[in-house]
Amino acid sequence: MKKGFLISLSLLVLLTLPSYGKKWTGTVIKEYDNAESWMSLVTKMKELHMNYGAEAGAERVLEYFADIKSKEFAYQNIVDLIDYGYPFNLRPVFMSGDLETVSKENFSQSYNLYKATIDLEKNMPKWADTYFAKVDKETFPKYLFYQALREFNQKKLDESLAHLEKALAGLSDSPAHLSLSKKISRTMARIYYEQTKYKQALDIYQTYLLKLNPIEPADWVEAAWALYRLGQYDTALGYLYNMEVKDPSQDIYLEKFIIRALIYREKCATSYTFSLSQNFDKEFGPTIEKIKMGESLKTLPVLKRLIDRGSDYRRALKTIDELQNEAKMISKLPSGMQQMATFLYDTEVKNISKNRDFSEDNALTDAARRLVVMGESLRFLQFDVIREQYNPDKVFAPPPEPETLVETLPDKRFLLHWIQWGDFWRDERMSYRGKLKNWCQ
Amino acid sequence: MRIVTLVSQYNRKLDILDFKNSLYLVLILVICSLKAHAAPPDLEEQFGPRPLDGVYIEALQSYSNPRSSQWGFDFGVWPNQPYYNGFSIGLNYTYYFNKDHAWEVLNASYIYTVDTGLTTELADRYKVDPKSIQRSNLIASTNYLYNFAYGKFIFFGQNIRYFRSYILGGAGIVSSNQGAFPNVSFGWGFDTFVNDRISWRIGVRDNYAIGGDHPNNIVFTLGTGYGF
Repeated sequence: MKKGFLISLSLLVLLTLPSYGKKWTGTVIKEYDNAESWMSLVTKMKELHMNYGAEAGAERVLEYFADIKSKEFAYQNIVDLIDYGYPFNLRPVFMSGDLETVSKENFSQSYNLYKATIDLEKNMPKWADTYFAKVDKETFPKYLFYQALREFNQKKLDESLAHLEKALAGLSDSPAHLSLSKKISRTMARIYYEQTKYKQALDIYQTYLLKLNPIEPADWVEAAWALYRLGQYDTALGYLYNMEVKDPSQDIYLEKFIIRALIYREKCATSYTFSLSQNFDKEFGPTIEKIKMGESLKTLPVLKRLIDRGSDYRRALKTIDELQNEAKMISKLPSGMQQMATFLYDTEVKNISKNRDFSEDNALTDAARRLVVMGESLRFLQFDVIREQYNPDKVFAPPPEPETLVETLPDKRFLLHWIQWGDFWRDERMSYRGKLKNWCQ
Repeated sequence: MRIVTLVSQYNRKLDILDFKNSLYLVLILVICSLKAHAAPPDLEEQFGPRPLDGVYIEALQSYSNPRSSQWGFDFGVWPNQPYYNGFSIGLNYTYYFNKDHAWEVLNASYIYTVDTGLTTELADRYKVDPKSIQRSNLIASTNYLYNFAYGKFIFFGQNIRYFRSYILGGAGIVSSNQGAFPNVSFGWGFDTFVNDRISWRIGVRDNYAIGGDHPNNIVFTLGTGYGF
């Protein structure tokens, strides 16, 4: 018996030996086995701002064709998409890259930098060093930003700041630099915040990041944190009001509840805290109940808006969404490209859907955990509030202040106070203030 | 559209109304103010201020056009004269004491008239031939302006435009083919700002000529203003 098993095992090993070490190959469907057609499609999609499709197309070029020209084209386009603000990490695509390029051009410098960083991430330091050696470490803004991030993570804040300033100085007003400029500015603001230089941090949000279109909603929260630290509670609350725009596709930032709770605590405002807790319950109470009852997390749509923005699941969700939107524009492509584009979008959505399913459970569990923890924290806050309601110092509320609609300023100027009715005018977004009352003795 | 009507001036506005209307206005204002103070629950879509956790949120905005002086140029239509239609060009200069009060130092209009055909019709049908028809050709007045509303609106879903609205009253002179008459003028105007200095203006005013055959000289104007 034992002998027979050993013989069978040996035969199995012998049979599989010939395929060991052989490169895996696949056959590209004949109609799509033409690199030039793919390159034309990617170029056209970029022109029409079908960026998710263009990225998928560039990756297909890398998968299907091994010649240098095709690879250069694909990487060039991926670098361009990163420069123009593709929102997810594309460095893993560079893992299989085998181009040799040394020049001061943005593409060459970017390719070598991405290649080096992904090699380092995959624990291949020697390869990483080889590619880093080809990067201009003194002036290339992306490298300086990379260096600054490393220093930030190591808590070398001053050095990080110096590198960021140098990187920013190397950027122009070109749209290709906008995305990097935003990342650098946001990192600078976060460093100033870490250094408790809240005014400088706030200045970056107010003079740059919150004046961009579209605004990254997280910037409202980060600016509100800085305002909270500066004791400007009414403005902090006004900034957070921007997060109340009714948009079912928008992410939910639970931090906004934390800042609001902290502000109300500073003002000893029990009624506001009570309302906050009620609002949270109204928005998330049913979802939390269902989580506690053990209902499938996939049936709770709110959780999808709470997913960590850096997660694979979020990337898959967003990419599928964007690909499906772009697929509606296929008719705008030249007729000869439409079949190939349909194939690209269909297969890409199917592939990413599989990835999404793999990461779904972990992502939803994490979101559910964060929501439940937040709910419990606010519940405790509510107990404090109930106790505070019987505090004799707080029972007698001060009389309401007279409402001001117009405020006269020097030089015949005047301020208008628009009481908000939930309509969110774009010219008002940075001028909201909460009419907070101080209930502390 | 958003309008700030100056709350502190409601009392003065009441002076121009009779007692019964004043009572109605007070009643409306009381109801409105009660409505404004009754905070609707948060996160609910309903008409009225929408607080966040019970805190009212306001946007503080500096009004975009607090200039001291303004030149205006306008075209006018004078539609209410039976014997002729008038078309005018006008020029005016206004000095703003503050956000509420201003003095239109001079408003002058030259009127070009075109017969309506009524004289011919009278002659043909009733054999009546009016010998002297009073035609205004130049009107000048000086006026007090009171800005009663400031606000902004969205123009064709794209551009946010600031405006102010005013009423005016004053005196002047109407020059006509039958001589000059003193006049009392009153009216309403509306400025919409394109930028900090330039505005579009519409208005209507009556230059009531004391002693004239056709005392009401009503004009509708469309023009532009330049603040400095």
